[in-house]
Amino acid sequence: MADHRDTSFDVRRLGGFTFIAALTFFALYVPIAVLVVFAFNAGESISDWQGLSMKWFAIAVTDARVIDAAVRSMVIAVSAGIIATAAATLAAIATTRTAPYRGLSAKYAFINLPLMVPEIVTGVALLIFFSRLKIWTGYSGLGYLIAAHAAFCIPFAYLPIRARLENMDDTLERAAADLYATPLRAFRHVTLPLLWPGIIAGFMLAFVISLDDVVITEFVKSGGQDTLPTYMLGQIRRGTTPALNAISTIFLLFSVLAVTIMFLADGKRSKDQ
Amino acid sequence: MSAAPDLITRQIQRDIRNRWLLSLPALLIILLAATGPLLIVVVYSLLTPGDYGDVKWVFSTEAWVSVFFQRDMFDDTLTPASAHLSIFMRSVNLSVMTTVFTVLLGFPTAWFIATRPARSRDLWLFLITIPFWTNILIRTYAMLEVIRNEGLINTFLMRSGLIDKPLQMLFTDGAVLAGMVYTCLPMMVLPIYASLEKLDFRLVEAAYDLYATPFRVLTKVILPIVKPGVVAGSILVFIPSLGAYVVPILLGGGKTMMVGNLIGLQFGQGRNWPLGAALSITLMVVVMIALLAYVRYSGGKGAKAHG
Amino acid sequence: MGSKYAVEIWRVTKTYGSGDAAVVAVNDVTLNIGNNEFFTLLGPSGCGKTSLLRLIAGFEFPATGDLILDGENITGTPPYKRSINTVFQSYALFPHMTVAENIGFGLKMLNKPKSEIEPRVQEMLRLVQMEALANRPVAKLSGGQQQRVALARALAPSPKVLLLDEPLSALDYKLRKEMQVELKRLQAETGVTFIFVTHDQEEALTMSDRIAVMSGGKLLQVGEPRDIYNNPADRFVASFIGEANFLPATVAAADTTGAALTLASGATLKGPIADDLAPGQTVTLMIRPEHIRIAGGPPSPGALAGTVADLAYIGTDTYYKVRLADGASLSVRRQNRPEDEQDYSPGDAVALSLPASALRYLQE
Repeated sequence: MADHRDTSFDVRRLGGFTFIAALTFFALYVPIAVLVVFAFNAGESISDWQGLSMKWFAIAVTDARVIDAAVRSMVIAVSAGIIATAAATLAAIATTRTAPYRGLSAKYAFINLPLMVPEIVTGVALLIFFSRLKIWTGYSGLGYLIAAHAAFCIPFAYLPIRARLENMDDTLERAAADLYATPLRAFRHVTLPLLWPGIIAGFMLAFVISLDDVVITEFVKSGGQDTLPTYMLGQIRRGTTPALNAISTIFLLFSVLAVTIMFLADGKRSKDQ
Repeated sequence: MSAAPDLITRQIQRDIRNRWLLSLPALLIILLAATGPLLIVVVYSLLTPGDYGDVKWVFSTEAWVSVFFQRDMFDDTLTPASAHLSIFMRSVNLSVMTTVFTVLLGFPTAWFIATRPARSRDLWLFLITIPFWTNILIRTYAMLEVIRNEGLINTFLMRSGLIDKPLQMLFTDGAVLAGMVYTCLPMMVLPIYASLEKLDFRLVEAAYDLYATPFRVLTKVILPIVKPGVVAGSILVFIPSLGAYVVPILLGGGKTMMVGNLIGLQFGQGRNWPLGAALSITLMVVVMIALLAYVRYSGGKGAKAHG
Repeated sequence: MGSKYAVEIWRVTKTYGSGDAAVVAVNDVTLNIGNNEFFTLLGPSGCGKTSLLRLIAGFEFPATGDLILDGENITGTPPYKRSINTVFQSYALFPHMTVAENIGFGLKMLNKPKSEIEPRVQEMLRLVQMEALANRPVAKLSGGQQQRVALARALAPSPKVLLLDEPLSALDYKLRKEMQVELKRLQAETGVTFIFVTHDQEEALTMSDRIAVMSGGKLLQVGEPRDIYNNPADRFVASFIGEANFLPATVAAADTTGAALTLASGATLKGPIADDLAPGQTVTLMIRPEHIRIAGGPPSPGALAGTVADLAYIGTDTYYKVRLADGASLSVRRQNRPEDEQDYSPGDAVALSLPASALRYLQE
């Protein structure tokens, strides 16, 4: 029998779980690590290491098509992110901290509906709808992509904002009203400052979700409207070069940055409350 | 004597009207640029394909017939469309297996994170969140680099002398499954973690105190309590898996197609928009059935109460 | 002051929900609260006291009835236009503001100039002895300090009435005793009418000028602490405030000197004088445990015979549960004094005397 003297019985231990967790983290990070490492390969291959070099980064960031796609991705992600966050904030205010009213749960379901529809279905639906609109209006600019991205980003932006609102003690606003603040001033001086971290988190979520989208963009985009992900999809299908690894690495860096901001905004929340 | 009841009614009505106005932008955007166009898909599924894509505005049920049947070229007899059916079956199979594997890997991982000390827990969570936020394309590409013939695994096995020629892993069902598990895993871990985080470990202590073995503690106490998290994770994994597009295109190639690719094909080389539309609706219906089944058999009430 | 009363509540009713699920939270309450009063709403949880407070504050509007503040009808006035401030149970301090910003918030919302706000905030900080912590974020304060800031914030705009919603319930016992004294001091110093909500009868008795006892949304009794304890209006008030024994009895005879009462066991008791007592009438008698005298041996005339069933020693006193001949039992509280003879033990025969002056007739 094992000697348990001076130890404690750990109720948090379940046999084998730590091993599986380790395996999961290992499996999650090895492919990403390989991808990043070969971005720095001096050779043409993405599996045969031939020395350290930054040349693929240089090639990637000077490629006009990459720059063009990256800029377009940013424009769409920022615009769609702002629109989605604004709409989601208003919707979150409209759907939280209220006695149930007619249509409330329907509203809630509708806002989350885009999450329930497979991307491919939304993609082809928008392809059909927008191709009609393009013929009728003659307009075929970025507006369609921004609208589509804003729409599927709303449920994501809505999530943290709604969560924060629901966790917010509504006696704070009652206290503000008690202290002579009109509803509008109570919102501006009490609700909004406390809601900011949620709004920032919501925007970051929307921004990243938009930046990452492949499927819907692939179907909605007109000719010459490649975003970075759709450009990369085309490239990968043609063949792989370390230049793709370099773009991916930069992209990855961006995601890490975004998640860090999210974590910090979220961390502020736990300290506030 | 007093007009108070009127006043309350008026105030409630005004509040509800304001709430509708506030939610209007979000509802409109979603209606116009996400879910509304799904209705147009229904219309398109009942039209005739155009010669170069798009449609001719001529009513036809041909698209629906060809979702399920093949029309013989010569005598017009109908036989079940085995190609479409097998693609649907493969999609459902792969999605179920993806869900199962992500639960098997994701639950212990979420448990591991939830039982870390508060300080390091954030770091582990961060490590799960990074892949979650990394573009699915990049993650799929990373997986592709590992499993292709010149990839990490084959190179390693060949250098160590275990095999002479590379194992064909890419463009198989296994590759698609691996890719989907890989890309969906964080989506499973996060909701399970959210449930586990709220788990009161005194309940676990109480179970041990009442003679439960570790296995029974897990199955009789922990799992029932965190079931809403597992259900949420399963929905978040299963639905995108059913409609997967990127992973099967890159890892499955032309041979192991899933529904998403079949639909995509009709709007590309296939030039059969009505068939693509009909297939989309069929996929939607499968998803809805799956969702309803989840809600019914996994205790939707529990999900609501704990969520 | 424009009016004799700070707050007049006239036939106010509040219902939540509708149809079969409707709950009457406040049921036809009429109540006048005087200027300068420390007034307490007392009752068990769910009795409607907090609902009544929210009606006064303006977070709820009554279904029927009127609310008058200092002579002015405020029934439909929103909370931000009422000169009434609240100390919330959870304090509801704004977490993104400092102590001083919290205290100055009401004045800022009233659009007072900075030159007026700052000295007033300083004055309030002094009043609650928090000068040193003016620029501290409120999240860094202890429970007692948060309590003080909440008080200062509510008092800063000089409201006509201050509402306190169980403000001491989150504090530990010692701090609660301190704050009880502090609250009395603040009320005396500021001269503001305090309306205090609590479920703690001891707290209500020590602090209040007057108490209103509520149950089931209804107002059962309003009066000074002594009056309510000594002359409870009904069985609920008697048992909610302090402890009480109840005995059913029949009036045998009644005149201007007193009443003769017969208990179920046939034993007789002398009762106090009361109006409308008629021979043959059944009544319920109430007596506090500490008013019953217990002695050993056979009963003297007028005393009741019983057997000690159980006892509980609580330090200052001992409780005896004494079973009477007819099976009814009475709770008796006797102070423990060194000169007293030994305690009675279960099974001992004892005699209980119930002085007529300590007996009360209750409405059922």
